[in-house]
Amino acid sequence: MELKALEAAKTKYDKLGASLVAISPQTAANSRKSVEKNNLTFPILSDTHGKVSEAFGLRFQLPDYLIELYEGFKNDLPLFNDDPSWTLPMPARFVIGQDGVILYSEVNPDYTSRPEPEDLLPVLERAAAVKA
Amino acid sequence: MSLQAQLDAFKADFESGKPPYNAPRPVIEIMQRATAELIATGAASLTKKAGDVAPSFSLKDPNGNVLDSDELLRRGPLILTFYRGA
Repeated sequence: MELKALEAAKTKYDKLGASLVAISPQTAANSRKSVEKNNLTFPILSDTHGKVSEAFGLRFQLPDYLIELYEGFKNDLPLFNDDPSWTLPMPARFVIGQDGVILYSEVNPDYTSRPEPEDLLPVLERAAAVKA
Repeated sequence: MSLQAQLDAFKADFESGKPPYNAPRPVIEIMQRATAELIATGAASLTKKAGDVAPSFSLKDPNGNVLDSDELLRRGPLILTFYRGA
């Protein structure tokens, strides 16, 4: 849902000179499926073993009772992510300026509460104005 | 429909056990508990924030092409969305 919504806003991001990438712990094959299913024109990069999500402070360990539930569903996260650790990133969105400093960050442990893709436009407009 | 409106509709269907999810009550409660506990840890307040220097990265796309954050930043600002998958 979120990836599709970002795709719909991508032409607006393009106009402001910004690139968009998704970062996921899932394997490349699973990311390819996500790209195809949602008709995405931006890449989903493979964050093997959650290294980048760890660097951003987003990686969390699933509690044992949730692992048990997933295992019962045959939702094999270690296979899906090719990582035995049962960790995931918290849902998050960032805008990074050309100097490498973060201009916008939004993190929410509840994946059913996400900001609108258009919420990024003011910060991208300011970044474009500084550059001009 | 806005993204949040879509998510609200999904959540309402999921938590009321409607198809296609048909989630049993105990399953819904376990997932709610996990989210509430993750919020309670305060982990979301310890992440990188506006004003911090972003960690740089080099990661592969599904076709095996390496994308480097420094290179992407030379072209313009970079939007990252962290996606748990599936």
